[in-house]
Amino acid sequence: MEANDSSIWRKHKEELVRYATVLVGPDHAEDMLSGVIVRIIRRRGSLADLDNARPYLFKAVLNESLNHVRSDKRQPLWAEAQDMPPEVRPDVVVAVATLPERQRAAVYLTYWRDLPIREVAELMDCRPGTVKRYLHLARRRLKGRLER
Amino acid sequence: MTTHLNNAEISELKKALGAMEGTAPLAPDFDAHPVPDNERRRMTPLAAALGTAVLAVAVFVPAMLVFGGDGSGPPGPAISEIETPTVTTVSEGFDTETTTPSPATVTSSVGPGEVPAEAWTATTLPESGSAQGLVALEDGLVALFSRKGEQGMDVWGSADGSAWDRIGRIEGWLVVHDVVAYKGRIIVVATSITDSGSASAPVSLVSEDGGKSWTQIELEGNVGDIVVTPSGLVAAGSVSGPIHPDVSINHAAIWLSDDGVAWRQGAVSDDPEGISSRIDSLVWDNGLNVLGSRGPHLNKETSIGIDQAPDPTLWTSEDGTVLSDWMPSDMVGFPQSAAATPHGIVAATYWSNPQAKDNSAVWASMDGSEWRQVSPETETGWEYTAVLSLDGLVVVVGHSTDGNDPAPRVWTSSDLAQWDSAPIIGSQDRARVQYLAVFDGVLLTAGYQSDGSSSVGFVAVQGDG
Repeated sequence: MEANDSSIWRKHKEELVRYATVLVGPDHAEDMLSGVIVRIIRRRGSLADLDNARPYLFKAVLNESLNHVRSDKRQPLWAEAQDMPPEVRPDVVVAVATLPERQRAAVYLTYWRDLPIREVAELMDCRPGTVKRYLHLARRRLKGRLER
Repeated sequence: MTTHLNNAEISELKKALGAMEGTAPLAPDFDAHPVPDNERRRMTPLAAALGTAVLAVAVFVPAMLVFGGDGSGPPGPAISEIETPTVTTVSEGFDTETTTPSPATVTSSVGPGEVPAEAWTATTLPESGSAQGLVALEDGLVALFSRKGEQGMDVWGSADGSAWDRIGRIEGWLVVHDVVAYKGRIIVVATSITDSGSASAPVSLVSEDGGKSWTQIELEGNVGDIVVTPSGLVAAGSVSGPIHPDVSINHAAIWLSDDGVAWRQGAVSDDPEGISSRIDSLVWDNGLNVLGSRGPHLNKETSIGIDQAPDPTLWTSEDGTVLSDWMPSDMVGFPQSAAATPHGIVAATYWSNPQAKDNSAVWASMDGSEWRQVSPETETGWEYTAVLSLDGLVVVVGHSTDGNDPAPRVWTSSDLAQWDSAPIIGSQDRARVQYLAVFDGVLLTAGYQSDGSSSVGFVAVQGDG
């Protein structure tokens, strides 16, 4: 079981850490993931008995991120504080960082990970129509920032 | 305004998303090399958590081997040997009429080589509603039941646990937290709610005549649990107090009483970090073990909680006047019931997780800090509600939360590894058990059955009643 757990974790850890970072920022991503893993192991005993670990882990990370209480002021400060490459527009980073978590998750999985709507819906544990609504709302908020 | 993004906008968005996710340092492999103890404290939180996860697996593996090795739970009883809990009905009103016990259908039995768990006899109480408390007195028992949608509670009394009379009533909208008997008095701690529901107040209700009449006493804090100690009663919960000019937060608190009527303030947790805390359960074991929770952590500058989930926490105290520093607990959930047993403290916890079935567990700890899960069922779908220790046995009651088994069950174990199980009441409707008590060396439990629109309470006695 340990071997299975570790192999499952190795398989998904990179994308989960990156997903968590977009949701809660680099300072909290590892802490949040540690809580997710411990809770899953305690509740289920193992990752190995999951039929499909990947969507389960993604759902757990999103749910956990929703439990992190953050003010609207702190998140853009986190985004502004990072050393961004010169080609990245800080105002766009701030705009993305201030999106509500579910909208941010949908935008990240759709536009950066290039996942189809159906898969995004599976990872977010919602219907494809709901993902489309998140994307619509997110684009409406981002549109003004993205237009130069 | 159209919400479609053009190619240039998508390009800008992708750059931002890539920069945001790429700022995360990746976690190391947690099983690549063994970690020496002196290195463990330098591990990243994630690696440390994964180390804990491996340890958790190490605990679960032998547990699963004990239960059959395939994770399917303890060896199931053969259906051919069906236990038939009996049901006794008490007539409405104050005269008791005991009816002939009727066998109930319960799809549970005992497998080869196992000792059949003792059958239970249940007495349903007409128009009784949901159980709110059960307490053993020196010369009998008292149970509290509230009717759905109605204020107040009926007080039922019994000399032996089998025949029950309605003996009194407590008026008012009340949420009962605990009931104890002490020096001839029955003490109920509750939250009293106004008719409009707009205000609430912590109260104690005291009866000096076995439950027939009650006196209400206002309390200064939210009491959640009471325990009888050799030096008197100890109650625990929380008090509100300011820790920041704009924020009032609860502090874990203890009260002491020599008689259950007059209470004096005991210890109040003092956390310089500005932490909300509360006490869920008290266990007396030659000293107080105080189980509760601590959090959210508060940012004093912004007055915003920075960690929403409170952490299970342990304090200890010799007599309730001084609390130890808080200690983290690795238990999951908040204790609904806890008891001192030969195997240390055993607690039944529950945590809110409406989308999943696995939100209750039984835990054991020798020191109150490090806990191991010892849940009677290896499968999920059970809520464990009460724990006590009797004659070297650990006793747990609970019920199914997924509807797969309508009969609530009692589990007993002498080693926390192998559990015997028995149905408490046969029921076609959903049934729940919430309280455990011991009277004259016999176990009793109180609960209710519900068909969705109405509830009827019952008290079940170990054995043939």
